[in-house]
Amino acid sequence: MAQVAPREAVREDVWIPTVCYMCYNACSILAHRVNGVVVKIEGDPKSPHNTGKCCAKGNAGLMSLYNPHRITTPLRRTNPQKGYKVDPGFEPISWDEALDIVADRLKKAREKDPRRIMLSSFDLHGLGAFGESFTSALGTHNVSSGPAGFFCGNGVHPITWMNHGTFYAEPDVDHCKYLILIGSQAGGAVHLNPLGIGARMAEARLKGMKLVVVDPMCCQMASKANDWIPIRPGTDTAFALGMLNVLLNDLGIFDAPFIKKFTNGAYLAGPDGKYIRHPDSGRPLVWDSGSGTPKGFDDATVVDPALEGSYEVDGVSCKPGFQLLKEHVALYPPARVEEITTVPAETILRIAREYGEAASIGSKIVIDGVELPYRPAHVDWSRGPSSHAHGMSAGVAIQLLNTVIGAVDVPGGHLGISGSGPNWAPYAGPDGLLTPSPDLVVFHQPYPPRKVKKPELYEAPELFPLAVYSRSLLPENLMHPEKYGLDYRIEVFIHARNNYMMQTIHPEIVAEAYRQIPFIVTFAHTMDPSTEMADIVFPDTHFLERLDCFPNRIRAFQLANGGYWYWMLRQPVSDPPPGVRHWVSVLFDIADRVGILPDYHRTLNHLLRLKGSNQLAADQKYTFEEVSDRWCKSKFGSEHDLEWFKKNGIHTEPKDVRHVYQLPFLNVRIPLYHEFFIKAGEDVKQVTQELGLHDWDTDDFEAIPHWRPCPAYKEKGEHDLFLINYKVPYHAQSYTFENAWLDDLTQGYPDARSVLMNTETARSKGIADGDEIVVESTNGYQSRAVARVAETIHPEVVAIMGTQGHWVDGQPMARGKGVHWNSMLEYDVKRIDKLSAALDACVKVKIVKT
Amino acid sequence: MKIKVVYVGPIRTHTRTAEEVLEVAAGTTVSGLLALLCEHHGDGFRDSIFLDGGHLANFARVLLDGEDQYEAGGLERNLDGVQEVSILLIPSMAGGRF
Repeated sequence: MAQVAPREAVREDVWIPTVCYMCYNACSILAHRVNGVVVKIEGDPKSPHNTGKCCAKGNAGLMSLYNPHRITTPLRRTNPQKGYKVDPGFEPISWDEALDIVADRLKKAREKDPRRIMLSSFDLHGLGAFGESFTSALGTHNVSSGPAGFFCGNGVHPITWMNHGTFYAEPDVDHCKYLILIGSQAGGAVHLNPLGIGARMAEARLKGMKLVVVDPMCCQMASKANDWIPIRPGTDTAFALGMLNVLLNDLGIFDAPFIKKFTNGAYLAGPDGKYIRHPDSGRPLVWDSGSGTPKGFDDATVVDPALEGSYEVDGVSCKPGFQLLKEHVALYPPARVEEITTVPAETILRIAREYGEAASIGSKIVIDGVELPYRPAHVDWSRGPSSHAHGMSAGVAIQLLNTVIGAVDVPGGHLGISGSGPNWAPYAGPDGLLTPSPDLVVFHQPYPPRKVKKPELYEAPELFPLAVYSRSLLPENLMHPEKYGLDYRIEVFIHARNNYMMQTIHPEIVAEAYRQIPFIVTFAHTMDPSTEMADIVFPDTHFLERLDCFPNRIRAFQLANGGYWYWMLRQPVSDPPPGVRHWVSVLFDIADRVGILPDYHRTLNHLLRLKGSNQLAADQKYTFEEVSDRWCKSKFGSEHDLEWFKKNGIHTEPKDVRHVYQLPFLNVRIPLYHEFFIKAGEDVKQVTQELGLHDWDTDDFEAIPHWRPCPAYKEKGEHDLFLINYKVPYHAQSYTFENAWLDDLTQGYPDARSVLMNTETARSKGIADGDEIVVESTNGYQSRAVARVAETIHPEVVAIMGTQGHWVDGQPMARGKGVHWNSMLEYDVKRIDKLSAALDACVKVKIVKT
Repeated sequence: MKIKVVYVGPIRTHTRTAEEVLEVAAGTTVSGLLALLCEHHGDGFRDSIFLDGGHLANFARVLLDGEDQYEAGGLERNLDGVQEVSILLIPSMAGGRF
């Protein structure tokens, strides 16, 4: 007879506040631990960030903690051959030996040229100042946040920095009445700050906010919208320009006072597109209708700057930027836009009219006793329009829909996250345009445009003066450094918490790029394809074993309109397996062995703002706990030390309405007319010509964007369908697929492993729901799949979910399931957006029934 | 007056030293010192810390006795009484204000 084990007595039963890391959104959670075992995860109701909510990924976090396939010891490669599906032949070694090997390689590379060292990590919560200080102390500027920067945010972040002075913007759903999402899932459980926005979005919908979703497929948010508008991929720029045409030229709806005061729409531009400037001060001129003369834009005597008309200044004919915008968008009448986008002309007319009317231009609202402009309509966009060969132009055009109605950082509008705070704010930079507070710029700075020059760094940011990062250039530069004038090679590549092999392009190409690097160090929690390319592997902690101060960095992971500023602590709720260490803490050991600890500490003192007795002494060693404690005390005072945060989990402070709705309180202007793009383009043209990069296309460097087709748009023949990639709430990046509960959830959702295609399109190809098919990309890559047929996708489009198709043995649950979308992409510099460096995710495929 | 200037990070590629002591005139401002250093260390140094138009790049931090110049009076603050100016060049890895 079977015996039942006696139930263990409860010795411990605690709920511990910490922070999730199953995606990058840093939600506050409570981990329930019984007798040392984490048995449940829930949202922390004390936190304004996610107000007690937790998504399926967060709930399932404990299954990754107890993954039996975790790496628990340092590993050394024994197989010198590196490649896609090549067994690395790892053998265990001691921590001391591994650290000595790494330190030795770093010292040698550093002696030759510190730039030969590169660090890449998407550890957005824990690295920050530690990675910046570490690489600064090493003397290299070759840093990266990895694969996400190939597609995600490239055409969003530069725009939000130029318009809000910050990394990201989100819908003010509390006050909005008409929201358009273009290629964005704001309010769904993907996107930034999803749980906080999602709950408020649901409330807003109940209160009557109209939601319009423009997307090639009826994605999660489209399924909850009033209108789903299917659009052909890569045509969002034309859609936005068409909407602008209706608003400005047909309906005459725009916020003239806002445009005059808060944009450069009145600045005069000459025949070359550039500003007409004051001959002495160099300031851009406006036409003062009050006096009938040109004056500097900031001349206190300007009575009424003209937005429309043609003028002549010193014999040069010129027009205000707004007039040029009106003329430009007239090139996009509804009938032409329908032809490009497949969105019916009458739909464009209707949505533009509804949007313009909902904006309630001229209206005001009082919040916390402060009267503010009220613009309860706006547009939010994200990766959809952005990940194209002309993706940043789409962002510029879409943002103009917010700008012309004045829905920027005002109630009901699009709100920058943390652009202004108690001690920081954007300021008026060159030509009076908004320039972010320096501390808010966490990647490259898009305005003022950076100097264009021959690349010195392996992602070639020098050729992308308006981009915030240029991650997609890394494989190309590793394989062909001479083409870009790089006169040195990367010798040591350190990476953590990213997976180039799965999340960028075809892994054979990535492997070829990796093979150019003599020594690769990886910190990893489980084995993945990129870790298999390493020479040394260090075992990393799971997030439930990590200590991270304030993982919800102010630049992004704070709700713009959540009522509070908040700082959380991620604390260990479970001991790591013996021999496993938080990778950021290991950087201190490496710095010590390389001999750069004094510079590392000096820079940390500055970036962590460690003060007085909390500063790190040059040569002294500290535990990561000690550094974290000093950080807490320096930021919040000695009463809010690390122990206080461990007990309480989160510290909140009320947020002033002036920091939520910043623009009315700033003396800055945002770009309606992107004149500075022209000069940046001229500079890029000159440098790329000097480098012999003669086909480097600079057409998109223009003051007002045109719609230009992605290469796939022009491809005809048997590869006749656009392939897109979409996200679901229960997966993020590639690692969540190796999680038992999420795998189970995925099994229950038939679309998730399939290729989604339109009913009529499938019928025309003789394909029925559930049929086995082969998907073939124009790059030749083929994959077998199951067709899922529905009317919820554009007839010219097929869709694959997430990053699936895992192949390594160390991920047995995910292995062999789903289609690897990234393998289908074309990797060619011609398909990289020259403004944002986004890799074009627009690719054509052929579908054949097997 | 004498000012100790400390360089941290990739900026040392251009200065070829970790620190130096300079004699500057009384009343010299932070911008004045940076202009002097640009003259000494050349275009590579200038391009590393300034954007077009003379704006300080966000990667470049100038500390006056350990305090960020933004909080210590800005680039037009004079250096009287300051013992040490540190110039840090910091690669940007999604850190920033917390």
